[in-house]
Amino acid sequence: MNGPEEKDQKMQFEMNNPEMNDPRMREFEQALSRAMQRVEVRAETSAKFLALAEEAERKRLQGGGGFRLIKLSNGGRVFAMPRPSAWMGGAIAAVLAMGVFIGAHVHEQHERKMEAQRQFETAERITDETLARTREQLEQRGINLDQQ
Amino acid sequence: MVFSLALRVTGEYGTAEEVAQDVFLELFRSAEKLSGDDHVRFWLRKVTVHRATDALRRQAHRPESHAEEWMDDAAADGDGGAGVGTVLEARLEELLGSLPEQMRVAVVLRYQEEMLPDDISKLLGQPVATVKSNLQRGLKLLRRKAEITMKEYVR
Repeated sequence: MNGPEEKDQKMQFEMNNPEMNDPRMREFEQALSRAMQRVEVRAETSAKFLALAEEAERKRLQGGGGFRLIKLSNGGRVFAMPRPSAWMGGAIAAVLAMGVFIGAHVHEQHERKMEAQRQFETAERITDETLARTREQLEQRGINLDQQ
Repeated sequence: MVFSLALRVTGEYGTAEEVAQDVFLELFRSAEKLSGDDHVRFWLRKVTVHRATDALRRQAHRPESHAEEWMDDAAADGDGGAGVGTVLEARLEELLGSLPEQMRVAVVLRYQEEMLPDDISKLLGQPVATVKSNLQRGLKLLRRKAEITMKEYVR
């Protein structure tokens, strides 16, 4: 878009239907344009997506371990933590579902949760390191992610 | 851009995040083939729309599929003024979510991304006439639904 006038002209796309030239329809178009501001994801989240993608791809090429791209039963896909964390999450969820809250189990869960947290923090550190490298590689190819 | 496009097409925050992850993964794989901002922007929009519409089709609930019924009544009455605009801003995601897929995609690309029908046509690989028709019908349907929503508020 080069300027406000050109933008205004472009916003009223030409169509042969006279209804589209109705002033009320034009007013509606303008209201729609105003309402359709981009919803931006947080910069950190965006950066993390990119880092996760690189990490997943690197691990995939190496043939296993690390983050995995998992297909869900509803067709969606998520990046999963390394296997031990995924297993622990399932175990904790199962215990909660059954309502079994024996002291020993609670303590064990706490220990597992702390271990999972440590693993997650380690994974986050890895993503931070890979992010800088990925950005650098993309910028060398003329791609500036901040502008995308 | 990527997340916003995915959110407006899928209508769900979590799904949009998954789509955005997918797109960035694909970006990483395809980075060598891309050159310059325009190329990247075109590529990102195209892949995001494809991924988002795929996700939309996998969702259990489908968008409004009886567009013609609404269209038939569209000329019967209507205000189309500032009141409808207010409803539109307040309930945009919900109203967009009720549009059939092709209309929704065209409307989002036109009014969020400010793309011209010719450019949308290239991005979607559809004839310009199809894009214009989807835009026109989508706009009418959106306006009609906004009017009805406004009347429900007033009642």
